[in-house]
Amino acid sequence: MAIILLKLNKFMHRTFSEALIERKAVIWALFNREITTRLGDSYFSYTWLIVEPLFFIGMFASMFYFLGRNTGEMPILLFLLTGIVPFFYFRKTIQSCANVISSNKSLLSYRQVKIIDAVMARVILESTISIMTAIICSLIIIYLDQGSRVYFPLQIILAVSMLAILSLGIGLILAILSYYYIDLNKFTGVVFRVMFFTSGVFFSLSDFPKQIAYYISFNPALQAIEFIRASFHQQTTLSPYLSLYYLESFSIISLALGLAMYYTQRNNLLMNDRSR
Amino acid sequence: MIKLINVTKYYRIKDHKHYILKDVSFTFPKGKSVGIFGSNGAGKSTFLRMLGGLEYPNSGKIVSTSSISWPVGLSAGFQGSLTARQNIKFVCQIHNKNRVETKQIIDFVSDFAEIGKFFDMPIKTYSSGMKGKINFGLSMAFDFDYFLIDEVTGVGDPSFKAKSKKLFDKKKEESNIIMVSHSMTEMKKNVDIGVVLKDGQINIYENIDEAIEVYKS
Repeated sequence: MAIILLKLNKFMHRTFSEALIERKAVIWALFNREITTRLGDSYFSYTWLIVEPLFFIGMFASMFYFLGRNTGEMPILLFLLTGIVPFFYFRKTIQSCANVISSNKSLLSYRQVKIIDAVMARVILESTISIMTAIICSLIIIYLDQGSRVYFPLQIILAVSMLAILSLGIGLILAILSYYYIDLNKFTGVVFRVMFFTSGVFFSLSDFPKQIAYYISFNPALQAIEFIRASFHQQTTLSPYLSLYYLESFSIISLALGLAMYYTQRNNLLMNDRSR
Repeated sequence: MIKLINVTKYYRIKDHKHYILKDVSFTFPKGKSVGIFGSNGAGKSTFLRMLGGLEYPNSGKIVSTSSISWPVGLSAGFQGSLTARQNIKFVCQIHNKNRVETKQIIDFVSDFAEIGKFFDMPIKTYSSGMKGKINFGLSMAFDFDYFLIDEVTGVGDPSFKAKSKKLFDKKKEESNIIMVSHSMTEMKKNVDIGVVLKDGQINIYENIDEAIEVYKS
């Protein structure tokens, strides 16, 4: 195996494989710690993971029923599922990444623990939880609401992967910005409130007039959600506002930006409060 | 072996640079324990953190071929909402210990610290003495070439102090310590050479008493 000598962080001389093993050990340790703090000892937190999206789906479904809204071809529960689960994943991941530094401050006194490990641990945890809740909720809803099939499963996987990369990138950017701007949380809270209504959670892009649809389609979360929904329809023609190229570029650029910001700031993030 | 090569470290205070190290090149002598002296604010803790890889110099390099512990202080490094057991498991996992080793370390620390049922309670419920005991016990459970100690020896009641001294001395047979403390007696007992941090320079004194004299002046 080729061994690459890497002078890591002006500190110890180590081989590349040793460094990778250390990253994996730290991310695993942080992953365990995240599970312990988030999902504690009670059974309630585990059940809440599944109950929460089902609760929102049920709430919106009953609203739609009483308002007499029509969601086109898709059965309503599936329509809401494909809006709520991805959006909650997106929002939860980014918000938890945004305060990763303040939650992990005490653990940063170990040399091996770096911010990027904490961010990755959170993203991996949220992704795992989200995939499992999506599968369980889908099974429940398919049981209740027969009459829909997945026609393009790979498109779902692609859209979800792009969403994951997007969350990682924006999460990294916000993690680093929150170190410098302490009240960033309040701002992101407001932004997510707005995004909840403009990300296609409970409407479809075709529900809007052309002008508004054009502006709303710049939202990458909307793109991902609409791609997931399109995978349940048989026709291959997509709405003209959807662009896989846009979604992919947005995700990759945000990841690159997040990594670049992390790379330049990684030494500053560790500093004592005294020296800030 | 730990080597500093042209290391400069400063803090920016308003428009003024407060230098802790100014273009310092220094090698820690092999096989000796080092005590770091310096007045308050001279940068001893920062220096220790740099040795531990937690902070980086503004320029220059710190190179090490020995394994170095994290700075062992009173309670830093513990997640308050987790129990001692969970925190110790975390530290073991970071150092890539497998399950068997992790269990051994957890048993070792729980025997050593003797805090009974508190071991499975969140660390934020501990007194500072208990935290210090766990921290000290945890660091002693590992084998590093250099231990960084930040003013933490001497925690606990007399019987615990005796027990920890015994363990500490046993560790010193195989490892060295780099210690920051304000207690001259502690320093004299544990370190071989003294290093004084003053005005951005490091001066090494083979004789502890000499170092103490310079420090006091």
